[in-house]
Amino acid sequence: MVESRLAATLEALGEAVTIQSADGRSIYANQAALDLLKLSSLEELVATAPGEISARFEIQSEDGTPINVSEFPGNRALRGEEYPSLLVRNVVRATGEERWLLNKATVLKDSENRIEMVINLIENVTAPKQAERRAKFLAQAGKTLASSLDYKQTLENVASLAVPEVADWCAVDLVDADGDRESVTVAHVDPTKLALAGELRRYDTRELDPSEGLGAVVHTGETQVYQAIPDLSLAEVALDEEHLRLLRAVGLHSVVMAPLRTAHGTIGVLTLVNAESRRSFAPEDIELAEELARRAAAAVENARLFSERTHIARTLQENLLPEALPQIPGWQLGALYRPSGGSTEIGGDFYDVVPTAAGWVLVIGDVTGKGVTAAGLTSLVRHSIRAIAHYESEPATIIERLDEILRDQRGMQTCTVACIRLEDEAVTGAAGGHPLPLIVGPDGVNAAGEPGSLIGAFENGKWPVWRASVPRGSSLVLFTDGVTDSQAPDGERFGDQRLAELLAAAPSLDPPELVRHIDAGLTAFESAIQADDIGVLIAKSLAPTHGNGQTSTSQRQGSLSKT
Amino acid sequence: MIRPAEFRVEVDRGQSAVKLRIVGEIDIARIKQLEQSRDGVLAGSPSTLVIDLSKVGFLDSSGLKFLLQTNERVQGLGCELQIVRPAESVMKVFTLTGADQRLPFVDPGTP
Repeated sequence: MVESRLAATLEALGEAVTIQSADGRSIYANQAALDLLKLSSLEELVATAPGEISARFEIQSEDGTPINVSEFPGNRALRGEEYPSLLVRNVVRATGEERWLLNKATVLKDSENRIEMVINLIENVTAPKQAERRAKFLAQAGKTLASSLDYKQTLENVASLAVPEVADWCAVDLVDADGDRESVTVAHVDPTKLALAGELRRYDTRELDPSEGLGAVVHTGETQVYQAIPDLSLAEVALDEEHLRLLRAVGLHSVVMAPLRTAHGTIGVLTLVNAESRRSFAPEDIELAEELARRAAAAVENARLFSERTHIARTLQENLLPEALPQIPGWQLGALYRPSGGSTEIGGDFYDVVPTAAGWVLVIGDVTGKGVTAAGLTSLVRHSIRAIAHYESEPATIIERLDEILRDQRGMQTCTVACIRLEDEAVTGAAGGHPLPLIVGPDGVNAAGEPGSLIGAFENGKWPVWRASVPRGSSLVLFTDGVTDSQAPDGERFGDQRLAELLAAAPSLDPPELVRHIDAGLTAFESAIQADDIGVLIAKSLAPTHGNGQTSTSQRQGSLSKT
Repeated sequence: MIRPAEFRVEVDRGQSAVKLRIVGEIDIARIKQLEQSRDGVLAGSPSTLVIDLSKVGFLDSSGLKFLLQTNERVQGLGCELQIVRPAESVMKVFTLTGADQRLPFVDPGTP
């Protein structure tokens, strides 16, 4: 009577309960427990050997190591060992269904303190556990996606993060504006399986069929789900015997294809495949795939916008430099411009050679600041100087006018500029906050001129005019602070001294070679990525034997060709 | 970018004067941090702001611009700015641009 009441109470419980006798046999399970164990009746439990039941499930600890049933708390208790509660991942081999079960045991003893029976309580914690693992996975995936602007690399990393945690396979394909696909990554924990994927790729067409699979996802922007794919449909999609063999070898069970959507449409597809694990995708898994695809799409979009911005900024900046240097009687010119290594954060170095009524004026300058704003200001400065030079031919006056223009701007807009007019074996110049030029010749390396105020910064700036002789065969070297501020891997700056030594080692080179010499010297010294851009403009006073045959060179280098 | 040298901003809040002591190299990568430190202390309306450059080993044009902007900012706030003179090698940036005549430098050791 008592027993049947007890049984009735246990049946009514939502929690799964099983009872083991002292010899370890299962003698009772309530309905909830039978459901969990996928048994149709108590009779089936009693009639089936314990090992046979556990063989129907794959049982693992949270870190994925297999767990033997003998380690369950009930069995430990029966052996007289400690029996803490045990959380296991339990996958039904027949269906691939994943459950998270928390097993606890209680021991009932008789009056002589012998174990009479063990009551096992199995709590199904699948929903909270899966939610926790999904949240953890998404957080990690989000971090990975945000870690770099190399989206192919980050998509690869995310895909390998997804297997086998979320699915057996994870792949990402991107589609371009023409609808052509590009396979970015395929991940699986087993390399031999990956080889299969490689072979299957041969059957991919570049153009997608909008009526099915990837093509349908791209076309509709909707997720496609195929659960428990029968062999029959594999035979239907297979293009030939070999294709079918490969599809069978992968053992496709369930597939989710989620769109990588942006404001401009679907740019790709994230595919999750379950095969050998025979897991089906729960609605939460499909949501997870969609969320992952959303985040991946945002990462790809960001990276694309970023590279587009870099391209715009670079183009803008390169247009701030003269296409070619002019031919100037009595002088030979050479120039170097190298953008900073720091991606879009372009600096504002520029140089120009401007005609005035009194002769050619060399201009070199540096706008403080970075990015597109700096490029805009550089454009203003360069074109202002060109316009001023129509009316003014004195370097100091050109700078004074430029200073007025900059002080009329909103906010503090400053720049450094040196303006140097080329004359016969001499120059007249003025500098506004800019490093003073060097004269390189038989007498060694000497700084020329006098400093003047930073442009755009002060009321009543002062720009002393100076004249320097540049004897034939000597070169005037103008440079921006990117040269002297250039940094070695140990943090050491290149500095004035090294620049002077570099130039002193090659006093008679023609400007194009001297520019290369400086570039090589800096490259040898510095680390791969420099914070600032570098500008150099060189004018060599020609020996009379050169006559009119002088040449000029403008050497520009992208950061890619830097190393 | 290379960042071998340490960089830090030490904030010393006195009765009415606040001192920002900058240790390390000042280039464009540090400006944001400096602006945050500066704006943070200026929010407390100090009567004097001291920016100590005596432990600065390098300062580029963005560092110079930061100081010029700070000089402009404090004038609107009725706060006195003092800049503790850096080493001679760093001072060059100021002499080259005329900023040595325009910014309120004081010698190290000035109370």
